[in-house]
Amino acid sequence: MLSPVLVIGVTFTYLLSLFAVAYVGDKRAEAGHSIIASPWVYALSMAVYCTAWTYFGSVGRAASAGVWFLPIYLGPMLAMILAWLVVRKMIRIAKTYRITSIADFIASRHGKSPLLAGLVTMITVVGIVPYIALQLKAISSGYAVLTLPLGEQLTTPTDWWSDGTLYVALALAGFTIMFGTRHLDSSERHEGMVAAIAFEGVVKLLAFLLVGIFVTYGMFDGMGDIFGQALVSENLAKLLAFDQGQPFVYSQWVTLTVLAMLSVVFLPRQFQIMVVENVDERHLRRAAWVFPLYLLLINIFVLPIALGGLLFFGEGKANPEIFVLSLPLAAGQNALTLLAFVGGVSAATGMVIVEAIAVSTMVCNDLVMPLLLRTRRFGERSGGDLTGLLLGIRRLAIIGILLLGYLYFHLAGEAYALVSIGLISFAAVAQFAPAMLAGMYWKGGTRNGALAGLLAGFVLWSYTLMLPSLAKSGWMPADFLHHGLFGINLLKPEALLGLEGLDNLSHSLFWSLFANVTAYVLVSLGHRPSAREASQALLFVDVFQRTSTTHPVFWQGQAKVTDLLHLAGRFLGEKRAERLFTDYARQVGVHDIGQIPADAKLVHFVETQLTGAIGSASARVMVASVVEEEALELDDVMRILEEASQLRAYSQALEEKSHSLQLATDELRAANEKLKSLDRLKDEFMSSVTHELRTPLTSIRALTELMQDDPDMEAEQRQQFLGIVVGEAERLSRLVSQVLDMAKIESGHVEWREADVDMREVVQQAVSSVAATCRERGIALHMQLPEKLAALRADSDRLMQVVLNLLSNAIKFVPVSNGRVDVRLQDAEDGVTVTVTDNGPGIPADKHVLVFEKFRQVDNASGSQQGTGLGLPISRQIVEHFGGHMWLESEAGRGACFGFFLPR
Amino acid sequence: MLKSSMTSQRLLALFAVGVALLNFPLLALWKHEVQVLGVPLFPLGLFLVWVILIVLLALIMETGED
Repeated sequence: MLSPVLVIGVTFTYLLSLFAVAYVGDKRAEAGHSIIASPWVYALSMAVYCTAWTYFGSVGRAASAGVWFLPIYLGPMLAMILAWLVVRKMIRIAKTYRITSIADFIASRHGKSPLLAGLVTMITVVGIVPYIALQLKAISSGYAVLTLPLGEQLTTPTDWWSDGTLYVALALAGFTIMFGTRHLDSSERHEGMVAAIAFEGVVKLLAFLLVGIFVTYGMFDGMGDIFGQALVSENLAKLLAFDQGQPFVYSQWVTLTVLAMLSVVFLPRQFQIMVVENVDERHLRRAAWVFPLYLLLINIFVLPIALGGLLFFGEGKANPEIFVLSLPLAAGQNALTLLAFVGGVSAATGMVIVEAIAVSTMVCNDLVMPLLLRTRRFGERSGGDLTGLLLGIRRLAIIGILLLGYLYFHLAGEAYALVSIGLISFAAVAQFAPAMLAGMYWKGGTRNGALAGLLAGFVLWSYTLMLPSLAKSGWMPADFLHHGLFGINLLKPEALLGLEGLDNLSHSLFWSLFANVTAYVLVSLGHRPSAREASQALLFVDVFQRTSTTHPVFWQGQAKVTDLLHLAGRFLGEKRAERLFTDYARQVGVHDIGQIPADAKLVHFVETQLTGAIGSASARVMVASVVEEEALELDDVMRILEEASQLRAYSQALEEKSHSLQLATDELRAANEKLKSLDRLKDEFMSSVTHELRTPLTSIRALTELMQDDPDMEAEQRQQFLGIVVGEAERLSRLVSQVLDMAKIESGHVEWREADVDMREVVQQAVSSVAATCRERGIALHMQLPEKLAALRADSDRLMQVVLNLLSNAIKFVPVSNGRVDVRLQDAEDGVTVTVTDNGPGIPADKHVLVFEKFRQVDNASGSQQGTGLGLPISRQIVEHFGGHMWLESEAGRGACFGFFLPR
Repeated sequence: MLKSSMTSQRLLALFAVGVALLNFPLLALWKHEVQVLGVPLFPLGLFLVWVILIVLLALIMETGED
């Protein structure tokens, strides 16, 4: 037993820390550093699925039915496998059309019908109130366990004002109001709240695991010990058996799994967290498997705790639903007990906060606002700002929902186990599945179909599940249970039309969903959809095919920008509306609000913004009240759609065209660059050639002028001059023929005479043709040839030209008296190598590349220039033509070695 | 596009496997009064299937492209 002051103090401290988390979350969001923008936080916040029902109820269920607590968590596992396909589509639809609740989703899909939105809201409120009652019950009975002597029951106080549960409900309402309705956000996102919920997810998991570890390893000797002891007892062994003494009830197993599968998406709080509060749809990738993992972890110790409690207290001696608290308390672990209680509180508060926010949004947008907007008095007051009113309605709705929960707890809660209460709520929200899922994938669903389906499902759910639960807890006569309504046996609520052999949950789920789906499909198929239904169906089903630029806007009529701005200001606040319009103006490319074209796109924009604040149905009504609309016919929908798809085709074609234009431009630019550089090369070539031509011409002219001016010149001198003139003329003609040669090779106009060439012969001939010159200059010329050489396919004249060029270069540069030139021919597997080595001045490494360029004569030590500067480039071209390559090995002052390789 | 439809197909296949494993008649595979490390086979088998489904789902989700 713990003192009430301590328990309440710790609980409040915990709630305050929750506030701190939410505060930090909101502040960070305002500063642009969202802490919830992470798949991990997203997954943890999804764990709001685990309420007090999981925390306390699972153990209770396990203590009476063994593994039957599991389908409620295996269903979500299966559902999350498909989350990437289904939930992602919901997120995309909700984000695109600013949908903030299930009611709005269903209503918006089926032609923005206010009636449908209202019906969904009603079903939600009726279905969810028992679930909220369940959380209140868990907190109050947990508190009783902690503060009362062991085994004593909490007595219901006689005066309503002294009932602690009422204050718990009010405190939670206050809390929710502060979390969820501090300001109006047109996308209904609450970053701080989500941060707090994720934090609660961690707390309840840790607390439950700690209790599980303590019970299993502290109070017992591990899992084996607990199961071993349980298997000895006859009753407990039965719990662990597959069939538990009777045939395994597959129908109920399937029912529970399907129910949980649908609930994990369609419970208002799950929709709020998964769809509305989603930051980035890619987070779903990781959350899809982390969330089932969370569920697995929180379920590991359920059976050990349940069996441990039964073994410890004895069967039937203590309430199994509070084993999580009573076991550590009985073991004297007060701190752990407090922690376990805090975990339970966090499971309960998390659910209540999110559920109440989600339901209050629905009540405000889809129930109260449409009614208010219809009344004339409200219409007259149309001038003022309504944001305050919206917040006020939501706050009242939150208080109302919690008080309803308290009322249900008071009336029926005591009679029922936690698990049964939760399942009633699950079956209620499962009724949304047909309209939601079919609405997302089937274009044929209509407003009347959805209304019929939901009504049929809801009526059957009430009659076969909700009313029997009330009757069983004694709050209404139970006659109809046993004898059927008006005494007609076929109307027995738990064996409708004589359908027997199913447990009441499976029976109810079967009938309600069967009627729901049948009515939805049949009524939808019974008439043609209206223009608005058809257009909304297209927008929803094909959401992944739409992009912002080619969005079809199903609206026609006339509007004024000022009217729309005024309207937006009333529901979103003046400043916010003005900011939105300014952004929109920038988007459409005009400077200020006055210049915005008042077209269908603007009307759609304003309607979408309003949808976020007051729901699609109300937004539709409000927008229609300030613009002059022309009724939309089905033909118009088709026309608009066609225009949009044409527009899309145009924009695609345009994109393709601009892409290919871009490619062409790139190609042209590259070609132009190449041309430019070739042009530059040509200019350089021309100037080099003219320069090279001018040098010999100048000397020829100078010498011939000298001889012309001086007819009496001595014969010897004249002879010498003539010799120079002849030499220069030879150089000129050589230059000209080499330039022509080069040009021919480069343009590919050379005729190559390919034949079998014996490289030995070529080298020998070349050497013998320069032998005389060498002897004259006293140069030692050595030749080294292999014995035998296989022939090459090449042009022998051209190869001769190459070898001669290398030899004459070498001879040119070796010192006159002790010059030495070595010619070496080497044979190899894949070709032949010819090297010409001299002992001339050599060429510094940085000039090696230059020698192969046209007109680049590397300055040699003597400073004389004797070549044309074309020999080496031509040689290299020839060698490369035959697939070989040419190189130079040299160092300044150490001679040079030119070589080339020719492949076979 | 091709890769994203790959992910969809894998998910649908895994869903079918999950439904089959957690239903009639495969559920009866665990209908043996045997203990593994002291834990009865029926709850243990369910947890095992659960773990396998999570691992496969994680593999599909973390390796697929948008």
